[in-house]
Amino acid sequence: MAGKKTICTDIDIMKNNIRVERAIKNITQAELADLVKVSRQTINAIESNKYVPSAVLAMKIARIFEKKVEDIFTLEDDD
Amino acid sequence: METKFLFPHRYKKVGWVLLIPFFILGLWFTITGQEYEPDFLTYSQGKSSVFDDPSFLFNLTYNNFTNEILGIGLLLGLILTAFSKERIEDERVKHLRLESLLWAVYCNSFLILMAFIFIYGSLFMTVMTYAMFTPLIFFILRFNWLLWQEKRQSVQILI
Repeated sequence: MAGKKTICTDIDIMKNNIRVERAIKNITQAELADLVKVSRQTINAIESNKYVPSAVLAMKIARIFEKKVEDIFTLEDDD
Repeated sequence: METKFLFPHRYKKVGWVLLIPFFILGLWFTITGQEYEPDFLTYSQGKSSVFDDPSFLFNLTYNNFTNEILGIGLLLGLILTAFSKERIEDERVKHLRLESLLWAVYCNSFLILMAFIFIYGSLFMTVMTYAMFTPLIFFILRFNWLLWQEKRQSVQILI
């Protein structure tokens, strides 16, 4: 792959396991959205890896699940 | 993107109420080519006109305000509809709004470019008067389409 450079956006390298955490805590997308004060579409977009949340929102979500931010949102090196 | 320059959510309905009739009226004027100018909107411009030369183009003693009212109503309706907050203003909506604005400016610039290349004469001025409104129209279309698409997708994956 020498000399080939691909454009890697945030969406490609950010992974999250919100869906798993939601199942553990047994709350729906709508409930989680109400807890962090965003719309349900935002939670859905984050889970489907279509949207990268801001740092504040990521911390709020982590606080709901009582975990560290790095446990829920992971950064994968795509080199 | 700061939301302090956006209108509150309830102005969106006001925007639509303003926009739809003026838009239809404007479209109708464009397509039929006839301009219905009611008499009560005709006002005299004043007798003491500076431009006394009879060959001057604008040597009219009256002016009808239909076009002005149409333009103002359309523009205000577009502004209110386009730049009212959503019911829930979160960061994803701000992101989509910014993207839609960029997309709208790109589309409009492309249209103007095409107009420069292919359209000449007085028709060019007609096209430019439409180009006053098309950025906002494109923005409204794109923004609402993006929101609708997300809503549709989130309904399909309903857990």
